[in-house]
Amino acid sequence: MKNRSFNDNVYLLGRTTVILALAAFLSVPFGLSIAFDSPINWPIVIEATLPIFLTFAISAVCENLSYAPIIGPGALYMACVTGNVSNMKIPAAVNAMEVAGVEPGSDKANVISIIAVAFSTFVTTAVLFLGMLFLAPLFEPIYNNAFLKPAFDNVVPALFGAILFPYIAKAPKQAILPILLPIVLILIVGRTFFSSYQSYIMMLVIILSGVYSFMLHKKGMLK
Amino acid sequence: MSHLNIANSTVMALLCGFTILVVLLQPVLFLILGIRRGRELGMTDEEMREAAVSSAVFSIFPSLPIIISYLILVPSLGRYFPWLRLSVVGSASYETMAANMAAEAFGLESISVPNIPTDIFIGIVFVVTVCILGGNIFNIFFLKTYDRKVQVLKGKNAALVPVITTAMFLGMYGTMASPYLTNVSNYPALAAIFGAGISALIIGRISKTVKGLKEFSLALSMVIGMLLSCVVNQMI
Repeated sequence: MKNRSFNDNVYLLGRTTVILALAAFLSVPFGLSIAFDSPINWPIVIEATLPIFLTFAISAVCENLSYAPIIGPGALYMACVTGNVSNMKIPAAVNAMEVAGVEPGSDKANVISIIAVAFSTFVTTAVLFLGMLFLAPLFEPIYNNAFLKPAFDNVVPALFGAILFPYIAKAPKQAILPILLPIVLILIVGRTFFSSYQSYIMMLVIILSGVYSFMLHKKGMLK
Repeated sequence: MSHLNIANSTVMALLCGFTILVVLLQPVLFLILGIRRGRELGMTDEEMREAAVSSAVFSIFPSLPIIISYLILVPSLGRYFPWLRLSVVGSASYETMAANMAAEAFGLESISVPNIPTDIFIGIVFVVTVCILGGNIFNIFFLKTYDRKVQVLKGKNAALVPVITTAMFLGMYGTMASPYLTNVSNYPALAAIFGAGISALIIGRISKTVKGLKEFSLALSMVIGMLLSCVVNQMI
């Protein structure tokens, strides 16, 4: 592996570990099928799988195309296996880049992203493991406490505020279009439509935001 | 035999535990690769440690609601499968939706009915497992090609990389935040987003002089926003 570039190692390790993980995922239904001597009913299973698979696959592809340039391929291979990409893995990566003071999109940023996503994965897995062992029933009354309930219901907006505001302050000119455009869109098309097609809308907004920033840069309006 | 006997069986526990161990292998190996590369690039262990601590502390808060999702899934899917499912790609809403759609395809009313036959339960486990894998399958086959194209573009326009990455990031979170920003009747959510946002700005400023604060800035701002939503909720 010594002579290969870092990126090549990332692709190789990413592909190998994703294939391994997917095989492990599939070992659950197949393992059950063998252990309980109950063959899988393929016609019905395929019929049920295809439409749901396609619906999720198309939006997942749009999301991955958007995420890859931001957190780099290594972090993305990992993030997609363990999920919670937009509400945990990307904020963890972006925040870590900020803390480390590295330029997003650089080699150093990719390294920081990998470290951030790896540790984020460890924490979620540990929390879930403890949850399964004993924590979940103990945590339930805290979660359902009348005063504290809104805190847990609003983890996501709190996260978006905490991660977005410093970026707006850092790049106010660049922020105008990507912040206002989705707001205008949501007012035009309505919330239901917006949430159903959010992955596609996000990709469109990202592209337009890139073009807009490119134009600002060309006109010398940045810095 | 009820499907919950299977769902809570030792076989199920072993299969799920084994899968999670295999999944954890990936961040361990990537971490080794990343740290090695970081040193090559002249990064200090301290820098990398800060990134790790900051991400770990931050990740605790978004993980907590997942524990509740776990409790929601246990009655219909047993103790172990939700543990696995929520540790890997998916979410409580996806698992519930996919499990219900699969149950319907098998002619059941929903996933909540008692005594699901063994073969149907295993079928449901299969459907829930496979339907969310599109992103990963894309990564196996196409991420390398796509990333290389991105690298070439970056190489040609080095000065533009930070500008475009920032633009992409703003577009991404601008889109995701807009449903909350426009839901003007949901005061607790608005309190959370603005409370956390303003806290992040203030803490960001303070952390320029107070060493060690920066790595906890995101987690701390989130907690302030979350608590503010509780206070606002009490006021309405």
